[in-house]
Amino acid sequence: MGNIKINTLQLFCLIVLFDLGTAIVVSYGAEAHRDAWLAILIGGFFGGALIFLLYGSLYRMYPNFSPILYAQQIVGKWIGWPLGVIFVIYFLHGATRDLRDYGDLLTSSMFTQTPLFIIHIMMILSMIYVLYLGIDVLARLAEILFAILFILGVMAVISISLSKKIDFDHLSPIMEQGLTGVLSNSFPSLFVVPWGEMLACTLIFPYLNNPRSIMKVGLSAIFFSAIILSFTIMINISVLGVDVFDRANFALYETIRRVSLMEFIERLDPIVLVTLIIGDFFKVGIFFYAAVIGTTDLFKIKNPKTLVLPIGIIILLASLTVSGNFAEHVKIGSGILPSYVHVPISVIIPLCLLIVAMIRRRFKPH
Amino acid sequence: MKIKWMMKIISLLLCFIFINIFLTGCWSQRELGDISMVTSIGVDKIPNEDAYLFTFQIIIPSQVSPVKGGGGEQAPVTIISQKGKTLFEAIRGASQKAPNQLFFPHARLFVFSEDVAKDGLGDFWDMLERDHEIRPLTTIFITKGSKAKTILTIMTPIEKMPSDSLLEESKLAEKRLAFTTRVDIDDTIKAIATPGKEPFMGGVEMIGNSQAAQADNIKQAEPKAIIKANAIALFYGEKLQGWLKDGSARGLLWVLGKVKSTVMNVPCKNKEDFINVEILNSKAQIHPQIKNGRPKMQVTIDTEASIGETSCFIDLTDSEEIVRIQERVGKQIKKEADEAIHIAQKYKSDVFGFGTIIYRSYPGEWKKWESSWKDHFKEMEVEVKANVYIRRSGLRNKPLQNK
Repeated sequence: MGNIKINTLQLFCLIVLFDLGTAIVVSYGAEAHRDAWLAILIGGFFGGALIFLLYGSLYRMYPNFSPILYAQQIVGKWIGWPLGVIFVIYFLHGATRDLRDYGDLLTSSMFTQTPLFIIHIMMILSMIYVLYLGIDVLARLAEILFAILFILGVMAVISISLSKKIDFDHLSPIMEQGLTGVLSNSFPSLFVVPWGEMLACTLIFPYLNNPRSIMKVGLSAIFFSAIILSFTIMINISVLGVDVFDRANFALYETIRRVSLMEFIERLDPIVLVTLIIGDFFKVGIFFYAAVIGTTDLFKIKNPKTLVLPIGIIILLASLTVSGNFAEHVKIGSGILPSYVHVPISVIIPLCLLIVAMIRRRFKPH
Repeated sequence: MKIKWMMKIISLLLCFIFINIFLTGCWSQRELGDISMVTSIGVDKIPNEDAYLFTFQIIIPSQVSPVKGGGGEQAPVTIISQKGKTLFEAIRGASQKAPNQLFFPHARLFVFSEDVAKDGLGDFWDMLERDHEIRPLTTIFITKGSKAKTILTIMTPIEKMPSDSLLEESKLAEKRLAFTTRVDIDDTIKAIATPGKEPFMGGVEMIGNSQAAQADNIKQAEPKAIIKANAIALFYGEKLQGWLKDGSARGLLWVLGKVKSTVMNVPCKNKEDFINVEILNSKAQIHPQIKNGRPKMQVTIDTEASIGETSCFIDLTDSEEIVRIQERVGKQIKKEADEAIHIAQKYKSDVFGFGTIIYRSYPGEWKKWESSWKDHFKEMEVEVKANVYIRRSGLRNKPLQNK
């Protein structure tokens, strides 16, 4: 790990890009139908914030270690080590799924005849290179791409509004099934995705040059991404209507397709593709990096860089087999994963670790 | 030392070669010379067969580009017709007749014949939505009284490409006269999916002799046949129910607040002469109400206008006179709107979206009426009020007096 440090702005950008990831281009929140934007705000502000408080507190207690290492410190080697393995598999799985998401979306919209493998390999190769150079390179990249993404987003919103395609009537009646309806539809998926996946980000916290600011950085990143996601979904529903939003695989792409300014500026599809590429790069990248560091910690490897290429290849090959078809991919992602994987691994286990750590602290005053 | 230096050179070379592979372009690229750009697609029914006739209008680039010397007598477009049960099937079948692959991202127009629309357009929505080459902003027209293939075969004098001509024509008709409107795939799908709203589409009609109207059409000053965009087709779900023409079509647009500019004729006091009033813009507000447990709508149309032309003598400096003219125009607008509502109610086709407005304001009540909305719509009471504000009278106040 050495003496590489990243600053708070870089961490902020990393977390935001990670959270926006793929969620911003798909029909995120479609479980809540018309009130998706509201469900996202609630999920982010409550679910996301609480989850982050969890991770932040653990970080404060062990500012120089990754969860894999402090798990061993808290509950001992015999339980901690297998937990570490579970975490690493979780990260690998996350990277694989997100890479597959990216490939599927690209091949169904623009590159219909390109093999999935080619698209995946392009992404993984560039990622291998960046991660080989180190986390600080990734962090600086995050700053730049964050600015680019922001500009693209503003451009997109301006062109959509100028096309007069936004009709806020599509959002009403608001809360048709009441607040309970909104919450029951969105729990637990909107509370843990993508907030629970931030467990991978905690592997990066040790590099922060100002450990005391972790809560400020993290919470502001979460609030910021929740607002951006909610706003984007609100625009999507206003342009597309609930029905198309629910049924579309790639909601933001559909929205941009309907932009037509003076019949001259049309086909702004690349804005969405670049958004997806940037977002997914960081999602897969951070999961990938977490898997590398996690494995280094588990097996006490001297130089993490040697693991970058092998783990990259694993992710590449696995991404081709992780789902047989898109329907299976979606079903796993929205049906099985949130409740049976995300909640236990990213919420319950860290919560237990925190509780045990706090108990231990109390009995061992330093 | 030397080996290290060589290794560096070799790895640099390998890098260049590697990057080159990625820079050459897309995996599934298609050159301009390998594709035939389809600008419009027509769908007709084939009698006695369970298939449709699809017609694809394809651009011939050399005839359209000003540089490459169009010259000659060739038409700027060509058409390929192909039978098929579905659009997808027909596109592949058409590859037997075309030297290039058909390319759809530039297709801006879909024309369905009245027969197909009456049977139901449901078969087509999935392909139009799902396929990534067909754009959601593609305009849809229904032909009245002629086949879609005929509409796509007529050459047009002013615009080189007939599909462009038709699109521009309907856009202009919508903006300047408001007897028709342009509806695209996105609007239609949203209308079908939204509860309490039915789709409608622009209608076109061919006037003239289509047989004579092929390439010869543009050889003389007066073409033998022209396409007129002058109606609106009303749907219930996927099936065509009826038409709104001229004034009643404009009535629909009054209620939707989509009239941008048009001309109204109101009779003078002597009933023989007319005053032409030019509408500059219009807005409509629709208020839903529940009266005696039944839905009721209040439509208020506000327009701004100016005097265009008058053939009788009226003193336009007299503001009372202006008010009287305003009232007469208002009555005419109300008449057109009422007519549109009446016809739509006859066909039980809620193209205005009154149901959706009830749904959004009174979701509880809507649950009661949702399943039989078409009957509720038919019986619904709709009150239309039209307010006209004439601001100006052109460059003169009083007209020239006949001596």
